[in-house]
Amino acid sequence: MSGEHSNDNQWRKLASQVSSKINLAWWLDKLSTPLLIAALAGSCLILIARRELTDFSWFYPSIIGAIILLAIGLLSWWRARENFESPDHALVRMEASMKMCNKLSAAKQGLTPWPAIPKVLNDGTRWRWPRLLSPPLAALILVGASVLLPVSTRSNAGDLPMDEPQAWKDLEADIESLTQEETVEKDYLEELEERIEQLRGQNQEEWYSHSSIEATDALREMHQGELDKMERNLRRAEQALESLQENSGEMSDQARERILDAFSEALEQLEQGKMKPNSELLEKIKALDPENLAQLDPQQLEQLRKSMKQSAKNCAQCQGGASKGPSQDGGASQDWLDDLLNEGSDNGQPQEREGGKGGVNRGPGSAPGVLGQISPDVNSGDLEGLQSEDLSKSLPGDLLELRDSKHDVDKTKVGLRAGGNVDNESEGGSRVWKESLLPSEKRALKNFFK
Amino acid sequence: MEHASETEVTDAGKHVRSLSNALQQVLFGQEELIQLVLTGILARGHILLEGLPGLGKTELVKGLSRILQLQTRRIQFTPDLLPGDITGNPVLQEKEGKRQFVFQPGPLFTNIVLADEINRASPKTQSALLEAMQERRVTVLGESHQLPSPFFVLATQNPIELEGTYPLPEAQLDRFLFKLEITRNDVDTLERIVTDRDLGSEPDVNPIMEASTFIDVLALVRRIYLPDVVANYIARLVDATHPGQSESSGKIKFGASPRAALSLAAAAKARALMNERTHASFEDVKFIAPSVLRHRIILDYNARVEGLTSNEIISLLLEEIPFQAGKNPRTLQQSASS
Repeated sequence: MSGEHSNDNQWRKLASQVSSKINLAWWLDKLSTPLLIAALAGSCLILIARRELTDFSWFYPSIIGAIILLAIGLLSWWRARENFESPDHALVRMEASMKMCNKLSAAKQGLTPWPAIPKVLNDGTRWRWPRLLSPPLAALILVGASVLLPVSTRSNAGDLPMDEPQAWKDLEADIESLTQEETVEKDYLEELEERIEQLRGQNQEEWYSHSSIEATDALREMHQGELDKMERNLRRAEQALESLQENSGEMSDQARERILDAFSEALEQLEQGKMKPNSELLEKIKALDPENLAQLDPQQLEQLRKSMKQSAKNCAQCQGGASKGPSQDGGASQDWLDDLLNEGSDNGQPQEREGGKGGVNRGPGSAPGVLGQISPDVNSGDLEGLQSEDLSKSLPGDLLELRDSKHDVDKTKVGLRAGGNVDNESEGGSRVWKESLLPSEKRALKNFFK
Repeated sequence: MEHASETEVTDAGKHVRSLSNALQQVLFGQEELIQLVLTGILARGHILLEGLPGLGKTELVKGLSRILQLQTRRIQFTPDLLPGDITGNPVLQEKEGKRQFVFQPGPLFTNIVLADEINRASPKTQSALLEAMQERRVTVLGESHQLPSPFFVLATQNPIELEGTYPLPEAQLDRFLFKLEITRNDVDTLERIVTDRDLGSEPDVNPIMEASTFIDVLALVRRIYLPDVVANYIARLVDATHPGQSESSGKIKFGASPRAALSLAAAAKARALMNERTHASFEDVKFIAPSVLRHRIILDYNARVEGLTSNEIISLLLEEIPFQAGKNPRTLQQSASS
């Protein structure tokens, strides 16, 4: 009797173990999907937090992660609860898998004694390891990757120094260049520097405002204009000196007079301009008497001309004159001289309008090549007849096709016919299987004969 | 009701085993068929035996009747057999100077009816058996007459493809507890038949069990314990035969009836007794399920065209429906049974 009681306890203990295993399996089954989703969302949040937060700490994320994990576990247990098995059910599972002919159920009912515990126990189930381990491993990999992946904190965009407008830099470069070469008087450069500082002194957010860009543009244009003007005057003066020096004996009095006037005019403009050459050079030019060049030392004159040419070149090399091509370097002055010598011989042809360059200071016309390379043969203004070949878009009444054909006339004789004839010649047996069977049966028969 | 005790079951089991041994002297090489016939009889069910002529169907039934010492009558079903020929007819007789109809009982009024080649009779005559098989009584001209107890119909039929046969209606098929298919004998069995039997002579069989003992055994079968889990398995199995209730039932047109569930339970109890157990088990249900269900499920046209049989569908059902209710979690898989 005690042995039977012992068997009873052992079987019930085994049943309890089996039911725990089944219930754990159900819980893990229900846990896998929420765990994966939470791991995916959590890893994304960790990556975002690591990127966005400069003072990221692991303390709070760890606490929140543990709470979420606990909540998922409880939720999964609640969902799995409806599938949980009792130890009695586990007994049935064991007797079924061990083919015990329901001896355990009968023993539980008290009809038969509890059977002895067999050496090999089998509850009919075993763990499906790939299915069991995949979700937690995947979750671990996701979270681990989000923790271990190197992510740099995104710096605040407002902390970065704002890049100042390029025009200011160009002007600064011009000032530096002109100061180094001592080409221009310092007063002008100081004034220019002061105006740039005024622009720079405004709020950074205002640097690229319309008014600021307009002011910068005006300053750049003014500087460019002054550079051009000084360069032109220096070149004119230098060219005049050269002509006087080399062609003094050959040129007519009228021509000589014109050149002398031009020199004087250039000198006057150099003196009156906002941008003046450095005082030493200006004094030398002023001290020069163009009418008595022959009395001067040729070497001194050559040196003076060289200084003037160098100053003009310095002006041309500044950013304000950067747009000038190499052909214009000297070419313009040569044109000026040619114009001077051939005054009144203008052929009167209108100048071609050049395209604009875009930007605030854009000129007349549109910027060239904005929409790509301009095709030379656009044939604008020509009229061409268009013919639609798409018949689907034809309108009612459109002529679609012309064909030579005869009318299709039904030539069947119309009149009395003899009755009683059988016209329909059916195929043998078709009526039977087509009309006697149910639709499902017809389908099955067709499938069979396929 | 008090459940059967182990002593009672052991005694009854010995009697049944002696019946089985005696029947094996009548029919050679058909041990499983004999077990199933005895199971059906112990479950108080009617049995339909199907097989080609000459396989020993009639011999088996005649041997059974002699062993059990029960009254037996044989009805040879023919196309011109009328219902009255089997149930009995009212005969006009003169009694005390008056003419009146007196019921003349037919061959149904016996313990074991051997309905030989039942599917050769017309459906009208086949239907005459319905009331007798289900309610164990016969009604003629408004008068009901009780049939003797126990009452069994052991019918034989030839496969329906043979000439001159009428298929049994579903309602009548459902009243048979088992439909057993008799297969041909192997060479050794044939050799034994040829050696031990002469053409035309019947085997010598001695009575094994008295009728009263047999009735006691029948009563004991009803006291066999049917565990709840087994009853649940029977219910799930029968439910799964209906279209849409399981994967295997896709080609079933009509599933088994509640009478099939009752039959499964009764037959499982009978088999438990034969195995000297006080309770039925899953294994009992699984063993007798094909015999109980094969004539109760109607396959659809697709299955018939594809050549599927009821036995194949039932095998699939038995594989699909687990013993214990509920499903396994996806983290566990079914392991091989020990």
